[in-house]
Amino acid sequence: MVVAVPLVLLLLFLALGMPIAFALGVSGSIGLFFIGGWDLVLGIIQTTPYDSTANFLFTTIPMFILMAELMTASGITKDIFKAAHKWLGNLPGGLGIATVFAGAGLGAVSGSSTASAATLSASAYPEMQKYGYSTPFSMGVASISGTLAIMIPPSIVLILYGIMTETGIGSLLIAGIIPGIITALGYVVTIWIWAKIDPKVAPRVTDKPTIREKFQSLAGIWPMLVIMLVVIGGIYAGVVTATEAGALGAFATFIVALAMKRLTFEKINEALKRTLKSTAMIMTIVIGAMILGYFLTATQVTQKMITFVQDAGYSRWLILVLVIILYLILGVFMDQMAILILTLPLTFPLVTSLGFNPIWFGIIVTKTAEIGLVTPPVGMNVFVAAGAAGVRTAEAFKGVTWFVIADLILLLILILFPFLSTWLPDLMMK
Amino acid sequence: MKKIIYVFEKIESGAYVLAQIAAFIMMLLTSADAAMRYIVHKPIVGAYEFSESYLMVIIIFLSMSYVMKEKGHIRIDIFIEKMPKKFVEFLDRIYLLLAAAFMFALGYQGMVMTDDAIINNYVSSGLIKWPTWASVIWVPIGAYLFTLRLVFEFVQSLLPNKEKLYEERDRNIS
Amino acid sequence: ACGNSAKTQGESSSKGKSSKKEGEQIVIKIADSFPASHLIPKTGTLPWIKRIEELGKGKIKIEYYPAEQLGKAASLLDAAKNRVADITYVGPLYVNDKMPLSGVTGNPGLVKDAVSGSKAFDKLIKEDLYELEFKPNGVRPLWGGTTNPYQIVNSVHKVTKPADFKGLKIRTSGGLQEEMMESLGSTPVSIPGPEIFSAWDRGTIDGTLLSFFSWPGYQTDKVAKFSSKNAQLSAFGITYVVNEKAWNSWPEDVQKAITQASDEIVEKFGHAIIDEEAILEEQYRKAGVEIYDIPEADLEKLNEELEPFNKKWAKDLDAKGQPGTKILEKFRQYNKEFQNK
Ligand code: NA
Ligand code: NA
Repeated sequence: MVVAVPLVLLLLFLALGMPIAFALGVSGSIGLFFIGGWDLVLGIIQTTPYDSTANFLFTTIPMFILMAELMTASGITKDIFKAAHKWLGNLPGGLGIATVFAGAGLGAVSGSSTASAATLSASAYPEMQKYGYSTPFSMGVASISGTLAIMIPPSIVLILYGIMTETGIGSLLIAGIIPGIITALGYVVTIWIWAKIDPKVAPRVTDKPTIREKFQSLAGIWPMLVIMLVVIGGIYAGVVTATEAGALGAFATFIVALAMKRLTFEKINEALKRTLKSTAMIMTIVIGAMILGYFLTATQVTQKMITFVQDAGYSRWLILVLVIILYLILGVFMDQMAILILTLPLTFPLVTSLGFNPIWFGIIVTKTAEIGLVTPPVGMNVFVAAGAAGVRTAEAFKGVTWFVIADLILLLILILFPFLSTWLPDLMMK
Repeated sequence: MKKIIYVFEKIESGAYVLAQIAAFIMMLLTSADAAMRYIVHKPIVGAYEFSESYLMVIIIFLSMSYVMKEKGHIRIDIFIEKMPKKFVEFLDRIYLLLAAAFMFALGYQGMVMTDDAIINNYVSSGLIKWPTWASVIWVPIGAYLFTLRLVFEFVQSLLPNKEKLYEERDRNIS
Repeated sequence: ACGNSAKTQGESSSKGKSSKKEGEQIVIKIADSFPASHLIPKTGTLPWIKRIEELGKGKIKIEYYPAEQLGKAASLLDAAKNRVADITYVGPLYVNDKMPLSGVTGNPGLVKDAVSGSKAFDKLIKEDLYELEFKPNGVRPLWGGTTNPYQIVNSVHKVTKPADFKGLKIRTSGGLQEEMMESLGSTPVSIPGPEIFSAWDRGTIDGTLLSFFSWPGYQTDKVAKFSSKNAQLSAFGITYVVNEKAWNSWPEDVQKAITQASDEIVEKFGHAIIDEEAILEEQYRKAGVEIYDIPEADLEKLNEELEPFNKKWAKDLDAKGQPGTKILEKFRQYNKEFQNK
């Protein structure tokens, strides 16, 4: 009962449109009040906001977002898309495939999927409109391609997972490479099939760029290659830790963009503003989620659930499937960061105590996070993509259906073949 | 009232600028620290603590309120889109009040913490003795700014439509 | 509408709670920040809790919240003070600004091993530090302990003399460790705990200060090549504290049971740490890590080199009107006392 009321309240708040951070914080506080009175509420409220922000590991969030925003502000991302367009535009659904490749490239330097989706949408949508692509198709592609940024390293989701579970962040990031590539290929196949079945959504582009034009377009990708080299090289040479890589990446982008004379004071200002907007939004949710999380642990519901599940004698695979279904359901209506913070203290010990590999589980959780980013009602990537293109969100959500199906198949593949996630980190970490 | 809000908005956007500067400094400082450590084996003393305990807190707490003004704190709107406008407005007022109470409590408790740190003269150990209060104080400042923002939005929501206490921004999530 | 329903639901729920029959049993909430697999709960917290319940003869029920479930390490003192939990773990080094004197275990050359160190620290917090640093925060210490002292662990070369520290990039957790490494000519590096392994693997750091029981948490055995065994580079102190008001509200027999269990655990904890570390050491030796004793003369020289830090630590506190010198000397004296036993 004590557990149920605040949770029902939370769902009510969320459904009725209360800002997510407040829905979490207020229902959490009410719950704390039920079990421990004012002492408990005020005690938790006193230390939690500060503790959740004054943490070096979290500096990676604003820094990776800043890096993505600087790339957008300076037009570096637009150039990546242009090149992908010139090379792949003639395939069935070619502009969509180009967007996936641009998304993978962007994902290799950026750890923030929302920033990536916004960029892709802003640069790809007008092009796709120009060639008569349907709006749901274009939006679906832009939203889903943005999710690649959290699987392909660097990734703020994997870093957060590493922070919370004390799993090696380096290993986790490497583990995302193969699943990230498989995911990108899965999206390409989906686009191809979709465009074959229903050519209306993506009419073939007829104007063929010359070889010369194709190679000229490659000139636009060198800034991204430089930034990639700095970030990835910086991590592997031991210049920076995975956490610091965001700051170094942002700095490298800053310098490259300055050198290209692509940054004005206004643009830097704009990039910083957008960075703070996403950061404050995420971190306010983190604070709210922490408060709710303390309520949940104070009721000991977490331990009780774990003991219950363990004593029930279910097979470990059944438990794993239940956990994954839980993530998919939560992902439908909650922010990914908030989900991780809320659930990992509960699911991680459970899953690892059953003998599952912690790195592999991190990849599985990230995959469910990718799915959650594009499912209604709360699909951050779709919000952001629709916002950047000026399209209605309902229209955009229509376009993600096929990709969600593809993602579920990919999720199944990753579950069934753990070596896809563990082989590379095992190899590189000895 | 309008004058008060005008002054408040000046302070609020000032705080936002400070948060922007903090983010920019964090980028420079962390990169410089890594470079110094790698090249000359001399990291910048205190860079880590400064980023963690000062810049990070400033970035988050001094931007919360302004982000509310820009409607940056996301919510699920798929259900309320289908509800009567009057009802949604009514709900919004409740949320604003609940949120204001919540942020006020956060600010008040943050103030207690800051006060403790000042009275007892808490400092960190290590090569640089950072004062604790200068790190915690951004919590009450940010939370109180946010509280005021929420209260003003509540008052605004009670006024007839034409009267604007402050310029409203468009909803623009990106 | 929504606001109203929330209120009625809330009332009915709190009524439901208060109507629960109130038995004789006293429920005590204990919170700490260690994951359940960590050695400190295994050797200290869990046996202690078990003993309290045993001595309580059914009258005491402990609810244990490990792994930061009710607050991060740095805010557990506040959690006890604000009665978020009744009893919490407090690591003085995490709340150095609030309990600088209790951070004395972090000074070099004092603690020799977990048994004598734990006994000395337990005595110090109860007899000398209670009034100074616990009472003002609204809490009372139940028991204290220390780990074996930190060792210098690295992957470059054996470190036995002060000069061997020169040029090594050593991860520290700030504080006095940072100052000591700096003065010995090492480069002190600050990186978060979860990143120690990858940073070490890629050469961002050459090593760190660590006692054996922390190795598993950082996958240290995969990167370390050398570790000293008898250095006294500072030790990690732990205390379990109880909210003063909660304590006073409990009946005498409950207090007695807790006091007895607490008094008993100190020495047991120290021995258990030493035993567990011996097992780990053997394991790491077999895995090819060179674990060595610093020759007695060199060790003395190293401690001598580090002694000024103790003086400076004490003087800085004296200057702030806190009895730094007195506490330092007491702790030194208690350590000697228990080492000779
Ligand atoms: Na990425
Ligand atoms: Na979703």
